[in-house]
Amino acid sequence: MSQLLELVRLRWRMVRSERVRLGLALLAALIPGLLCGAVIAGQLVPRGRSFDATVLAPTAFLGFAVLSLVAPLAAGGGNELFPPDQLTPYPIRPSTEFAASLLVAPLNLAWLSQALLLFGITSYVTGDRPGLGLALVTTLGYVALVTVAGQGVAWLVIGARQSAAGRRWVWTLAGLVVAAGVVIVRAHAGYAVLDHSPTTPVVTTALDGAAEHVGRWLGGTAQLAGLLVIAYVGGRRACAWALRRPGDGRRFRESRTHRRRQPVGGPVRALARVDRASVWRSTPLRRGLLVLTLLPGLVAAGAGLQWESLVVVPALVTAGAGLLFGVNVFCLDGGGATWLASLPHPPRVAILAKTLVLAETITASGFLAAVAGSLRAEHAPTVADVAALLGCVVSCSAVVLATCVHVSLAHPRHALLRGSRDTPAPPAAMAVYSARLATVTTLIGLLFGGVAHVGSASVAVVLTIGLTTLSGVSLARSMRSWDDPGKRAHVVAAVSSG
Amino acid sequence: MPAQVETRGLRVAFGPVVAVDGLDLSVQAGTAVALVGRNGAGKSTTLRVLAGVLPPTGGEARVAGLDVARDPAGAKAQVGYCPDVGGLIPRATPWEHLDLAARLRGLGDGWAERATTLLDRFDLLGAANRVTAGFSHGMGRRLSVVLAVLHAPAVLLLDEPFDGVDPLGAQATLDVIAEARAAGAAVVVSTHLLQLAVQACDEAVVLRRGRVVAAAPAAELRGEAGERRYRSLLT
Repeated sequence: MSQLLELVRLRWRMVRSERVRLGLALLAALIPGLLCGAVIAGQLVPRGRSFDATVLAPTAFLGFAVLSLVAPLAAGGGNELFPPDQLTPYPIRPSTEFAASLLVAPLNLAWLSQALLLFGITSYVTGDRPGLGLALVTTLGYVALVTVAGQGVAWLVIGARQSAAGRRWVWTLAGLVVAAGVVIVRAHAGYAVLDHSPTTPVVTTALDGAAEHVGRWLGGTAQLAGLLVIAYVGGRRACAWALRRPGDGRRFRESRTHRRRQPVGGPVRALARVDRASVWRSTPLRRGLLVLTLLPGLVAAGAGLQWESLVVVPALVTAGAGLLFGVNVFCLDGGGATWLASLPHPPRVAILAKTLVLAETITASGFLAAVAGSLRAEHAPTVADVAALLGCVVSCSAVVLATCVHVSLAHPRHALLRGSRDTPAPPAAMAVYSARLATVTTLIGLLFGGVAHVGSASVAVVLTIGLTTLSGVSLARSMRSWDDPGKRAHVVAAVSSG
Repeated sequence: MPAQVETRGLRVAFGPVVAVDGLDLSVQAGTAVALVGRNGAGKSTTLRVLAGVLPPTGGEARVAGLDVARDPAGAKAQVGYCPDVGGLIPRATPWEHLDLAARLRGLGDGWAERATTLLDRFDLLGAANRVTAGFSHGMGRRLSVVLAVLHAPAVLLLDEPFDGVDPLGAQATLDVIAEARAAGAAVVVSTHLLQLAVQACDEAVVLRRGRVVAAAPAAELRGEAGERRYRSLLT
């Protein structure tokens, strides 16, 4: 614990700007504030559908468990306070690594939004009964348990993947899970499976608390607490084991020979090709892209969403794609930024190539998610449905692109994006960026969802043109700022140092 | 003969920190000058300005007769630059670096043959298609030198080219410096390895706090007596 406190203190001291410190303090205060808000909202919502909510609650709790496993898996063991290369000289204990990952878990917007949902549902199904506090304690225990367990399982998988045999096992297991999902969906057995969700006893315990059946509530909650302790101890051990494993994955990839490709004409295409390779050869980016494009689309397909609801899926995916590297797009060059800056090419060429690769990544992710989700949409789409979906993907892509280029120029950072846990910016900055991108894309998604509901294709087109034009103006402003040699030197120095 | 590298009253400031403070430097075609001095003396900053990576705060910097601030693209076309640290795109291969340099510099078809020869001379041919993130520090330095000399530049700027490089790699670097000089290029080498600097260059310029404190024929800094003299200039 003392190591963790020192690391947190160091991270805090590294924030030089008073404004950013204030923002971080507000962010820390915001999380419990939002949880309270979700509870209050659950009390205020009309009670007409509390039975439906009670029936659906185990599914929501199960969804949170899946997310708690997938998020640290995609991040290679959970996000970290410091990139590992910065801590190499220090004897950081695996238990500290594990605790640090847990500490920054709430900075994941998906985790936070789902946790808010669970607290809101608990509050809603409890109503104004005096046992609300007990029910919330159960939910809190469950959130803690699955978060800790998810991190532990993720570390187990990370450790297993350090050997060829382990990777085969993991891929086999993942294949079986996907195949089982497909079979369940094809057999229309989804509801039957969800009815037997292992989270049902948790919801029952929360409801016991709500009804002040203290004995039963105490028994169920004590079980959760016991499991939490076991998960924490097991997770620490799994983390220590994974970090102890010699590992051949990264070294194998970095010593791999790459095929020489035919030369391409034009400096933008030549630079974009190198940037594209930098994205696909980076473990966290490749993994993040796969998870991001496949998972939401598959979940949407599994759920068989209506077209109006489906619109929000690619909106969120574009925000996620921007977060992979877009918020610090120049970090792809690493130390090579200095060398690139010494080559004779118009300055706009470099930023155009980066923008092009980023635009491809964001738009392709959004379209793939939209296509995957639409495979099992409930009815044949109308023209307005298709216009709203396409408009949403294009608009969100444009807005995310413009925001990412602006942020990349305003806050360039050195980031290796080499290890599976690497992110383009520190955890708190990532939390701010994800909140910013997710908020705007969700709003756009809801806007286009409304358009699909109204059934007006022309409104979708007008909205798309408007939002894309606004984004284009912002992008043009960023491009103009790149013309300043001082600005370019600042970006180059920031991304290449470290 | 006009100088191929020339700075007059060059000044670079990072806020309150002045890295280069009124530097005057002149390097003729076919000669090599070593920039030496303690950490933070302003050597790398000077080379970054000459390479067109960093705009000067004041003064003038010219390479091959071109003002690096007014005609950066023209100046960069004349320069080959090996940055001090890193200098390589982590997930690109050496061949991809060379291909990119050839495209952006508009080199003709012969570049691939020259690139292969250079990679061979620097013992990097076997690693030409592996990403540079897996390279040792010395391999990275050697590749940075290859990238700097690929287009046979009129001005060669090498920042710490010998750092962490084995004796064979250092010899290959010394050879390409000699060849560049023979071809009429002006060479500026920044290094802490005084004896290699003496071997590679005609003149040594000692910097301290962004200013030139001494300039002498490199031969005068040779051996133990030269080391003693150099140390006396550092403080």
